[in-house]
Amino acid sequence: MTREYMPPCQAACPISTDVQGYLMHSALGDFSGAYLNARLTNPFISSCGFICFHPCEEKCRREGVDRALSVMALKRAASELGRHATVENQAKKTGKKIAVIGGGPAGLTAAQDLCILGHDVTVFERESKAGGMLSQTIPKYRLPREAVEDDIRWIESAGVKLKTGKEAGKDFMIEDLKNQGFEVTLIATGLPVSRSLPVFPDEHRSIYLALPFLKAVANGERPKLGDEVIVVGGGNVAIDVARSAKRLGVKQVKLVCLESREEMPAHSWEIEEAAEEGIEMNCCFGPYEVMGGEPMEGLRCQAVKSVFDRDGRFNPTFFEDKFNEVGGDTIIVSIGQGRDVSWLGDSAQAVLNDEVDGVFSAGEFAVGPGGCVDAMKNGHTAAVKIDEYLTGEVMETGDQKVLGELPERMREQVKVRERIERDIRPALERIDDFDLFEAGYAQKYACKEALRCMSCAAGAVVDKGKCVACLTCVRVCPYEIPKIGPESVAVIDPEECQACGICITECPALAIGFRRDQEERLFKAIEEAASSSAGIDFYCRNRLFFEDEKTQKDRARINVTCIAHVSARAILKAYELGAQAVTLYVCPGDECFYKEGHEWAQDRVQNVKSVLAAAGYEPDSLTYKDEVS
Amino acid sequence: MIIGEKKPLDEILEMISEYKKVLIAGCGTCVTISYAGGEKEAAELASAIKMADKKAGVKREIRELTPLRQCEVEYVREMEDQVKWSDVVLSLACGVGVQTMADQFSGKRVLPGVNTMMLGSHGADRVFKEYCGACGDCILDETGGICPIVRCSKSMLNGPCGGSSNGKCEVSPEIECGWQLIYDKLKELKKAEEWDVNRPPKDWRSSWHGGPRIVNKESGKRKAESEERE
Repeated sequence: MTREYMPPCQAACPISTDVQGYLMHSALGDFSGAYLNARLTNPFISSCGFICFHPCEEKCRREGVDRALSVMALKRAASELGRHATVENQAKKTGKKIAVIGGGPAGLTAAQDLCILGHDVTVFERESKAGGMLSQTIPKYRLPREAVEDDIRWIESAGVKLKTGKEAGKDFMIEDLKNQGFEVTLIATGLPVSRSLPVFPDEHRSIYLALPFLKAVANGERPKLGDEVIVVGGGNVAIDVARSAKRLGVKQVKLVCLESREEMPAHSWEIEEAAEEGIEMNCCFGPYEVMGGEPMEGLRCQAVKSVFDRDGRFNPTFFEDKFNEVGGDTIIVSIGQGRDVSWLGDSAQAVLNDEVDGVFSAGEFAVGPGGCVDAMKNGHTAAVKIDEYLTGEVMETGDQKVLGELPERMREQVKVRERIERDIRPALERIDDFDLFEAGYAQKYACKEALRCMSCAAGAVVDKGKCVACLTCVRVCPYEIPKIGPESVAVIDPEECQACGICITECPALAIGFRRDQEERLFKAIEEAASSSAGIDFYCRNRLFFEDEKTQKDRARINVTCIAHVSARAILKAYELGAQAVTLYVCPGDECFYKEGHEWAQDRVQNVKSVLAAAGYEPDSLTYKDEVS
Repeated sequence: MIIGEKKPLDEILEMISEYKKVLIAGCGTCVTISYAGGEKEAAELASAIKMADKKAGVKREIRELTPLRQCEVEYVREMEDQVKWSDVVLSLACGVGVQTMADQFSGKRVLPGVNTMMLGSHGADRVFKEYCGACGDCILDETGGICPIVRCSKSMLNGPCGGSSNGKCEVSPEIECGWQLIYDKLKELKKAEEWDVNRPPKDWRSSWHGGPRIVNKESGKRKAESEERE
């Protein structure tokens, strides 16, 4: 289904993840569906459920009503509660062989995409495990390795062949790959080289570089650190280093960075969590010299005047005479990473410029530092380019408009449903180990949190060809959104529509549908349920806010996000297909997530009861329940 | 607009009892708007018939189809394949649609699934009210825009009868007295003096009392040809 509008969460995601799609599945309790949906564009959903920087949440239209949906945590829930072992790739084989160098998010994303397009893809990874930084350096308190393994298992099941322990430049060259029949080579080796500065002598035994340090820690080693560790850098990697050092039992961890706290490139929540854990922040200082010899006494730092020049470029300037001494016995340099092109020799620049026939580059190797999701985006793009190169066919991409902000008028009418926060281990407890510091959602809470999704851009849309301008929608909408437009058909503003579904179920011309497949899904569920069980319960998920989920024996349960989605036609269909009894479980009192859902449900129950009586059925087999236990 | 009302299910079941292939033909205009015979109502009726048949052990096939209007032959002709398949058509159109359909398909029985109620208005409160009797000689100009033919229970032409009480009609307290409405409206229009106009008995030949009416909008040679066809 091509949808005219994209919700802002999806538009904010570099890889256009159908956030709403998997949230809808989750809200209805279908985590397996959520998992499959999220996998459509994101090969690393299990990992992203822990480490994505979730730009989607910043754009959530609930922000301003209460708070944004907890999208990242719901991705984790989809993975933990709905995980599938494998996928079946039914693509027609093209017989084209592609080599990908580097098994990180960019390389594996491109590899999976190319496999799905039918190509024969082999990924060469120098480490013993694929996953790049996800499996090598990201601390385990943030990302459990089972998540990464799940992603890789899925990618492999799509047909990607993984060859680990194979390093480009050492075990093979691009020329060798060509000779083995690979028509294309994609280089996605990331940024594996920790940068340093001349003030930090390479041979100093108490100076470490960020990546080797994180890698060692991730491998369960405990690098020898002193009591006072100075971490130089203000990015996410520096925060990982500092928090890891703290977990290794270091008494004092002191971060030194050029930027002010607001300017630090690390994500704000990472900085906050680090501060909670007792990491000392020395902002606006640059390393000047290491004090003392070995053992060292600390780091003399020079005060920063400005970090960026007028054009916003990184170009630090310092106060000539302002210094500060940060005491410490170990330094971990975490000021950034660089790519390794040494193995490419003279052709390095040509490769980076995309000038070598059959050689492509992707991910951080090609575009510099970014998050996992940025790397995946770049992997997707590379896959498209490579496929075009191999097949000569240009892939078409549909343009979608992005849904605008929630209008003020609607904001006042949206019911507040507070965001369900997860348990976070207290700072003093979590610094003792490398166990995860944030809990996942239990199923019940995941459903409830997902139910907060407002289904932006998934509401009602009018089929102009069928609309008879009868004004039913105009008259039944509890939010007074539909209007008869200049073309004499109903117009429903997608920015205002709340997706309550009342106009859809009441339109006598069946001219209004949801912008997503809510209705088709409901009727499909009715078909399945009616044939397999005697009774059907339509259950408004909003009830979860008032009672614990219960399962009824011998009756099929069909979850809906509002009971108003269940039309008289749907109830009759259930009976027609064999249901002996139907109950509508409605949320209690006037607690409808939308407005008037109960009243419509009551109305329909009454109407259908009279049909039941006339058709020879027991009218009381249709019941309406709004009380909760 | 023509207002329809769904016929009771038992009446419909009785009507179609001898038929095994029933085409439910909705109508996409007036009866859609009056919630009697649109695509939604056709679907609901199909379900109801199938349910009843299942309960009664009747084997019957049901199909549904809703053209834009059943009162236009071109739209009706487009239904030919489905009509041919059926052994009866259950039309959810108004009486006009039912007959247009029956005219088109010789040898095919077309049954009414809807009672054609009236020419009415659709209020914002989703209540339909009879507003016009299609008498063929409109006098709304004289009565403040309120029709005494249908809004007065007795179609009185010169003021209310003795059954008007507190603005209500003696036929039912639910019914407003048409002549009270006319009087109030004329007063509101500052034309109360028009109340005194004395109307002679109405010539009802312009209405259906004069036999079936034909309105021919063609002109010249085409008109002659179309009259010849009639």
